[in-house]
Amino acid sequence: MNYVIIGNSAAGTAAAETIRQQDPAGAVIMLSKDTSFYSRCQLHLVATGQRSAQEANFLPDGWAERHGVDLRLGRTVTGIDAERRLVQCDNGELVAYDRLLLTTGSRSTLPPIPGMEGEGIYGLRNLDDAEQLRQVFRDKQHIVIIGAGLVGCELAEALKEVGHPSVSLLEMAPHPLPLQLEEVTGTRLRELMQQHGVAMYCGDGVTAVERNADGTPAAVLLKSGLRLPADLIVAAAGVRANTELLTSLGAECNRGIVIDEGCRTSLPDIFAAGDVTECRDVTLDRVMSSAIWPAARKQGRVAGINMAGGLASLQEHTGLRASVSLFGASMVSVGAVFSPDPTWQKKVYDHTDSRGRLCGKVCYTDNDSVLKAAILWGDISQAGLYGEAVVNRRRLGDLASSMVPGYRLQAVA
Amino acid sequence: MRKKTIDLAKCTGCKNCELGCMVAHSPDESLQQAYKDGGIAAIRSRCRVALTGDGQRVPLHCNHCEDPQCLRACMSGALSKGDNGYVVCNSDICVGCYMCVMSCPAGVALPAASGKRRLLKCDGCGERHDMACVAACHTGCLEAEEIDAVGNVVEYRNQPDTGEGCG
Repeated sequence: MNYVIIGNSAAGTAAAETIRQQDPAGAVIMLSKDTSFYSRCQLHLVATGQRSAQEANFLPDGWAERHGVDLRLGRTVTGIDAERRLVQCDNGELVAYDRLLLTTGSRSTLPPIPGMEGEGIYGLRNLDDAEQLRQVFRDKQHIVIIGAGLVGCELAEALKEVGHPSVSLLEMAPHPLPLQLEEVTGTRLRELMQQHGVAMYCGDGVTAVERNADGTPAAVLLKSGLRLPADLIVAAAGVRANTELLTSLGAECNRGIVIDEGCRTSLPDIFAAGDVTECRDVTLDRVMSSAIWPAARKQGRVAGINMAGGLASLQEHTGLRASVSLFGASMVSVGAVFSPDPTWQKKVYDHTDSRGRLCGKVCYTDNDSVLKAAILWGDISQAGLYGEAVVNRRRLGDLASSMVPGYRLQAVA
Repeated sequence: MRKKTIDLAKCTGCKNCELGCMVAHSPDESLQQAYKDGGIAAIRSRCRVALTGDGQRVPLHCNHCEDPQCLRACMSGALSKGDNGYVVCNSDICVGCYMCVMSCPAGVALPAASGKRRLLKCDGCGERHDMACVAACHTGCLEAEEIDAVGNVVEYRNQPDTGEGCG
């Protein structure tokens, strides 16, 4: 049996390990345009020189050998022949498969704005992006980050941590992390970042990038009329799934390749996992992307089991969970806090802990008091229980550890 | 591996297990010294006595799950399941993203209380001759025995009936 995996990040490597466990004899071939393993979640640390590319490797040394993976890095797959079951690489190589897994992830996109194309504009999606940023950021006077999602916020914090004097963060929504936070916690985060020296521009958008005569960026122009000097711009405002290899074959696709509970695409013997996919999310009961690391790992494992002839299913799958720590405050968000149902009730619980830290919980419950979504700020130690409660439709008062389900733990102080 | 039996009927909520864990994970295994050095805030117990909504106290301990959700969520490679079966965190590799905290259904993966962002979790006292929490327990609630297993090593006794059927 020939298993071919395209991509070598969270989903692809989880699948390779799983296939090997299920099928000790099959050939597992991993093709990737990347030339090394690295955790995308650590790129802000690589970009600011706090971690080396090597330190961002999430796998132990000798991983491929230990799992018997035939690793072919630095190879871009240019096409798939589904009838002859062949994968074609940019070096002309043809690789035969019996089962194929697509874990090609997504890429950052640039907002369609005058002056955006050209030098001095960076994404932060690949190791190359991070290494280019690392080489140039210290010589730049004014850094402007477009998009205050997870990538933008974490990069802004990392840049301040290494002492960059001028970091501005732009966000169209009224507060940073619009998909993870609501008004109260979002405003709190905006103020926190501002206090730590990040210039925050929320509820504003970019209309143009002004360039110098030599083509380098000079400033970013905002809808509000402001002009922010900028000689380095990071676009962290959007991603697009790398679906092309399968859409050209007619696979069912929205913004990502649609997969079923078993991570199968609509094409025979072709599976997909990770950021390139969309699947049913248990919290919203809707087909959507689940672009978080743990979801990609889970999809990779489920795909791996099914590719090797087993039977596994993405049970209670959700990508609506995020954890981030910024300037001393830890946050966890679970559920669709960005689009609460009109019937949900929202309650904010704040207290100060024994160390004097502000701890807050924002809880959304439905008419049956079932927890639908929550944000934990400061004290996140019970975050896993909140996540379980949302997925398993428990009431806020029924928060319990999976180990002792009979004890209803104190949910909010 | 060591199996930990927790008899809920015997827990008085005295928190000696937490204290034992803190001592074992303090520099020089001395809380007094850590207190003098000002490092006490950085030491957090890996096990904890949690409070229920109606004021009962319940000990929460890491199960070193056979299918550990913390490890499944780890994006840095810091978490691993050793040959001895314990799920351990390498603090040098951990970046403190806390996706493990977000993913642990038992609520026993904890963020460090101060200092470098990193996960604090039970290491099973894998490098000690006994389990510090068990050794510190004076009520007979916690007991340990050596067994042949690769995970799921915590067993609770005298759990209240959840009314949700078996399993």
